[in-house]
Amino acid sequence: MHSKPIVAGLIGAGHIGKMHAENIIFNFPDVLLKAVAGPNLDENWIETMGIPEHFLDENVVIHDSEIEAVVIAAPSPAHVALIKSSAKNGKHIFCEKPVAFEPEGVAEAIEAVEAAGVLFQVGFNRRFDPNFTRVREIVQSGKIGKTHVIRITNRDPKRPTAAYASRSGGLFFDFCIHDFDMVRYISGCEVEKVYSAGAALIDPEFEKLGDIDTALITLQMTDGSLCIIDVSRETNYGYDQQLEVFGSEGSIRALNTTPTSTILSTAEGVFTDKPHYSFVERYKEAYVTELREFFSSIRNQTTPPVTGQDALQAVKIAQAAELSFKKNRPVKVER
Amino acid sequence: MKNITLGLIGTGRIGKLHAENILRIPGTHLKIIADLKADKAWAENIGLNYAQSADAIFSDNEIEAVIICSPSAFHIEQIVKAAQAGKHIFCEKPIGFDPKTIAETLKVVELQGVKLQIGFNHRFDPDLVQLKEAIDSGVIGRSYLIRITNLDPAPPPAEYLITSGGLFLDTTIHDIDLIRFLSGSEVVEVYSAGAVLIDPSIGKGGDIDTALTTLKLENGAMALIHNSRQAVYGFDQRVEVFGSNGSMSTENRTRFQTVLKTSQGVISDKPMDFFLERYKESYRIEIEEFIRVIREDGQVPVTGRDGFIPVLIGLAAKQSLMEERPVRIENYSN
Repeated sequence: MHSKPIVAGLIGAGHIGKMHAENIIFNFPDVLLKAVAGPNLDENWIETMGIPEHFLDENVVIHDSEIEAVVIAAPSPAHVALIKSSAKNGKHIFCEKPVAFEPEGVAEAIEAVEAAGVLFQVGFNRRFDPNFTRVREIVQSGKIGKTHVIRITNRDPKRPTAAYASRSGGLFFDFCIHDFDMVRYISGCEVEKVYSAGAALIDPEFEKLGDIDTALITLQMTDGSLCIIDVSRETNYGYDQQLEVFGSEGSIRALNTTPTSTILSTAEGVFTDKPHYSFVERYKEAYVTELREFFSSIRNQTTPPVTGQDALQAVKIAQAAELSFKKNRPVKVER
Repeated sequence: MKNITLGLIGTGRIGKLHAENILRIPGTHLKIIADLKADKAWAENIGLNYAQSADAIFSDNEIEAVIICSPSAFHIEQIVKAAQAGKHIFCEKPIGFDPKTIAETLKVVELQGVKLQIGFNHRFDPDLVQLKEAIDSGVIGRSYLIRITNLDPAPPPAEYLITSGGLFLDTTIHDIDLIRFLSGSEVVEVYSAGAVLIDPSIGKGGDIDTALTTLKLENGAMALIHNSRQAVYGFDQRVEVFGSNGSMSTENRTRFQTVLKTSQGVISDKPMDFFLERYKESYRIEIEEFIRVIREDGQVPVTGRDGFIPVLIGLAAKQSLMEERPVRIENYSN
């Protein structure tokens, strides 16, 4: 039994890095967030949070012998190098998605963590959303029979700038990667083949940068079932995150969550809340749960719930989905 | 008000429903119903004259319009005969299975100058009419995606399946029509993934029971259709249109709006499980419209061309499934 606190460091303190830091500080009394590293650090925030140390150079965190675990929330292109050096220095690693934009990068990261014998968890936070966890439980319980169709709706409230989107890997790698992981998580099987239809319907800027903002992705699974993912970069009405599994004995649906559950009825109609606006609100609990699982894997020396292999498969699917879109034909997913 | 005299061919479930609806429309006279295996007890009970052959209808000079509800394989032949006899025609979907034959048939109809309306009843469902009005009003903005869930409660009888034309021409065809109706645009490309997941005997006949069809439209929008031959919880009929200003969706209808809460959980009613019940109003309205159009000499709301194009797209979907690739729809001319 590990009775001392786990000492952790954070690399990258942008929007999501700060959120992880706050989740650690406010939820886990047995974890000490010792240091944060990254460019343009918000010193006021660091002081408010009471984080003891901060550095521009992430190597200081990676080489700190007291630190056991690092949370990597730096920009995606830096992930693989940070994983490799963290692993080499014996740190357990929690890394945001996507690990890399090519399977080779993810494979390198996996190789490094395996060689070092450290634990490695990838930030597919949606797996820890109570709604989706429940859907998976129901599917596994056999209550809805054999799965026939999984349907995912994944729509952002407001589009990012096209420049940001293309820097983060484009629609398939940046955005749909979550859905590719979700179908594997829910179905418990692999993707055999993928077909993507997509277009830039919201903002022509996406097209100029070779990206799209809307897509319908059809997946054929190894167990013979089918999946469909509809994605969009902008809804105007909130973060639309729904999941439905249809099977031989019935179906289960996870609807959107809303800030309140009030219903207003007037002569104009019946009004309910819009879905939560941002991923931070929608997946609030999931972001805490994924870190709780990570730290508990460290304490118990067990395999984390989302592995490097999961990241690798998701990237392979994203690659096939993008190729399918470019060639306008179904593409087999390499496994 | 001018009285309209009608004949009806085929007295299966749908034929009976149309007949009973017509009997409630003022100013109509349903003179003859024809069916090889006419249900005499039913016909006598509601006071209808029946004949074994549709020829009794075609040769009756008093009859102005024919409602064709026979098995799909007979539609073409009966449309041609009715048109040549100068009768207006309401025909159930699908109009036929072969584009060339359908095109020739439509020419005969045009030449004879009779009206032809196709039974795409979903267009008249109040929920879907509301959706169409919302799209046209601009409240949803520019359409990006039309998403349709159309799942049957149980596979139809084996003898029906054989003559149905397969999942795409029997079931998906309604959804294809709905996409054309809602979008006001044409389909340019279709991709279908399908499987036999419910009943292997459906697969033996070369058909499938589960399909996901994605379509690209001329106006740039996309559409998605999920079909299944069996949803154990009822007839699952939902549509969502997602656009630049937001989205609008329809939910399933239930017979009861009750919600039971116990220590076991919260339970509400299942979707209505019978298509004749779920789309009751639409079946009534489409026939009322047909009769109104004859009386006023107006334009039919669902034309022969509206019947023809979904067949082309349904066949393209089938081809896509067989060849495992997206298929362009190019030959729109008829």
